[in-house]
Amino acid sequence: MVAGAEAVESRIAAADLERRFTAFVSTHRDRARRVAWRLVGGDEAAAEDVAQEAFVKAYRALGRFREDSKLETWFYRILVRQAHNHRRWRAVRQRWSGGSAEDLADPSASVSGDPGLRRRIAEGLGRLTRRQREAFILVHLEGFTVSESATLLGKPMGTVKSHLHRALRALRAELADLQDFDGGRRR
Amino acid sequence: MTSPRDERPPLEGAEEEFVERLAAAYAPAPMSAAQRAAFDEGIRARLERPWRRPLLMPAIGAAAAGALVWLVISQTIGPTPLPGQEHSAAVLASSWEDELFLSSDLSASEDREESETLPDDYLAIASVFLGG
Repeated sequence: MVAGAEAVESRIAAADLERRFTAFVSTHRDRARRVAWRLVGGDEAAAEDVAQEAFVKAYRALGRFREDSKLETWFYRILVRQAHNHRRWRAVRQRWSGGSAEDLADPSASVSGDPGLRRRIAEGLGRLTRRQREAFILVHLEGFTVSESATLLGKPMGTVKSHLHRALRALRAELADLQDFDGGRRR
Repeated sequence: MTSPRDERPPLEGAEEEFVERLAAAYAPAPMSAAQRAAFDEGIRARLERPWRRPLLMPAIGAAAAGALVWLVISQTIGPTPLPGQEHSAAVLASSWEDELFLSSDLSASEDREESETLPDDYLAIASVFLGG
């Protein structure tokens, strides 16, 4: 009788976990894929791979987090780490095969808009240091706050602000012509 | 985790415009319903795969043990220093320790760490895994 009750409780807990995970994926799917896409340099297949792997890790850790807000922070931390690992291995593969680091990324694949501009932005971001790039993408492109980004990157807020400042300065210098551009027409 | 934009460093008008232009231009196409379904299916497929703990920790443990053995052996049967060279190892050790622990230029060391060009030992490991 006790064993039966335990089995029922276990099934309820499993169903609850499933429900939470489905809701979590549904809430964060689009943003996670977009963050990953930006972090890996506009490679759609890599972004899906990174985001899906982060969700799988979230599923396995779900039981440890009672509050979804804590799971969320943890999840995006994992996502940023996964994206970084992807870039590292891509650099290794590229070095081994003798290509350039950005050859594997295809920012123009199945995306509307200006593929040339996307490639230039990807290259500009690629020339930043890892932390500058991550801070810039999280805060300026994704709208995370500085304190949220500091938590995700495991760095003090002052360091993140410094990275943001340097990243913005470098990108404005790199993409100076973009500042005079409006919708494909020069002002 | 909310995402208010008000907790960002303040940007000037031109900077704000530049950042907005980048955010608009550098984004993937929105997912269609079919893509969302395929994405969720991909997660399910990954979850159904047998989960093996990563082999990284045992590999790191073995590498550390190997390094320790090598260190002990090299200390025990290392070459005898020539006269006048007795202190060279100590000087060398103190110099890299100084660089590692006493360096005040932390930002430079962080940039080195963040370089995407991997050091040769990483590449050697990669060659084993990638069969290159």
